[in-house]
Amino acid sequence: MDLVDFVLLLGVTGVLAGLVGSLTGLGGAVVALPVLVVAFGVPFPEAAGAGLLTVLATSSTTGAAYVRQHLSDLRIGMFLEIATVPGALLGATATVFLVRANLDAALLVALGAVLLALVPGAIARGRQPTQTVPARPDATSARFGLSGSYYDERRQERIVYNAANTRPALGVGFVAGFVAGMFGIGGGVFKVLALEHYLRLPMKVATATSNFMIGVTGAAGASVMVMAGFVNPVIGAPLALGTAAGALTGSRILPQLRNRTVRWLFVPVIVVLAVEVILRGLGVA
Amino acid sequence: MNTAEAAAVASPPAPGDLPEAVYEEMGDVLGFGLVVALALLAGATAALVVLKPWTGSGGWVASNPLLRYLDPRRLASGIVAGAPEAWLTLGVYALIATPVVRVATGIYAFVRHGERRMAVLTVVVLALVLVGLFVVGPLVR
Repeated sequence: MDLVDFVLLLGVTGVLAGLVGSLTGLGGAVVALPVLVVAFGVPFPEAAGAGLLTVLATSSTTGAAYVRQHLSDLRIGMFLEIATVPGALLGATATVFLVRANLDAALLVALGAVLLALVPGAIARGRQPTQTVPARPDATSARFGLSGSYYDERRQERIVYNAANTRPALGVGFVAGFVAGMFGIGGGVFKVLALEHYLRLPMKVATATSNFMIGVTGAAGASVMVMAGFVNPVIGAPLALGTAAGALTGSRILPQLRNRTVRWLFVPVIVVLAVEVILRGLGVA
Repeated sequence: MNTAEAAAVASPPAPGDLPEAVYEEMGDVLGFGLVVALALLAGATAALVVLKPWTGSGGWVASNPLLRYLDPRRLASGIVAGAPEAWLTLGVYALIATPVVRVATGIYAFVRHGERRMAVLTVVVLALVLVGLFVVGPLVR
């Protein structure tokens, strides 16, 4: 394939990835990474490196938009980064060693299985009414002032929330960071779960705060992957540019969407991601 | 201002919400960093396509040009020489630096608004990221 075609196709892939990634809080890499491997024939380490660049582009684009809309909670985002950053550093370092030892295939299958196991819970939550009553804050939440509010355009009212269950959320945050650093995806699957299920935040705040956090997690993972030679800018640049355009569009759509609509976008993307990584791990894709 | 935005403005923030200025500053940092990074990546990609349009993608996938510019001195000389690959590398670094600067901005914002616990916590986050950049990264090289 000529460089011109290669760059254009990567850009289009990035636009689609950015749109899906921003609407779901997963990060554009969940779409971009499997496409790079399956359609473009990019080896996994370089795909993971490019995936982290799309994660960074998505997070900064949607992060800026969501912050200005007051959908991202800055305190809660910073709080969880205490756990996600060490996770990302450890995950990226583990990937470097595993790739050098040719042991990445088994981990891909394991990741796919974990993601599929999350799907039933995500579907069940989609049938439940959206959290409207503020959760009771625990001691840590109260100490750091982990509460806030946002104006819900669709419901035309201000929604107040408190963070609960901070300790288990930190644990899930560490796993989110580890997965993000290890596979070059945003880890948004786990971050949204930590924010919504454990901290009991409204879905829109969880999605926006996840996007906000993903950038710092991605920067930590990318700092390791750059040095390991996994970040190829000829692949990553057009992908990141497309992702930024798609993510910007997605962030403008999100405030008008029903919470349940966002949930139903969230679930199929997890399934697609899980199947893709399992097939890749088995050498089928 | 449309109806929804007017309604949002009319709805006062809840007690304990961070001031509007903090959100504005944070959004500005992310927006500015992203524009700089994407401008570098877009310009360098365009230059690469114009200068080497018919080179096959396989060669670019197999040979990572960033590896040539991991040394800061080589990166600087590549930028001065106008090498698109060096400018691409600079764009990657700008993309990585944007959320890091956002964390540093958070420290300033929390200190200014008297939230000492959040400021300390944010300093720890920044320190962890810097450990990744300057300790863990070079160790795995």
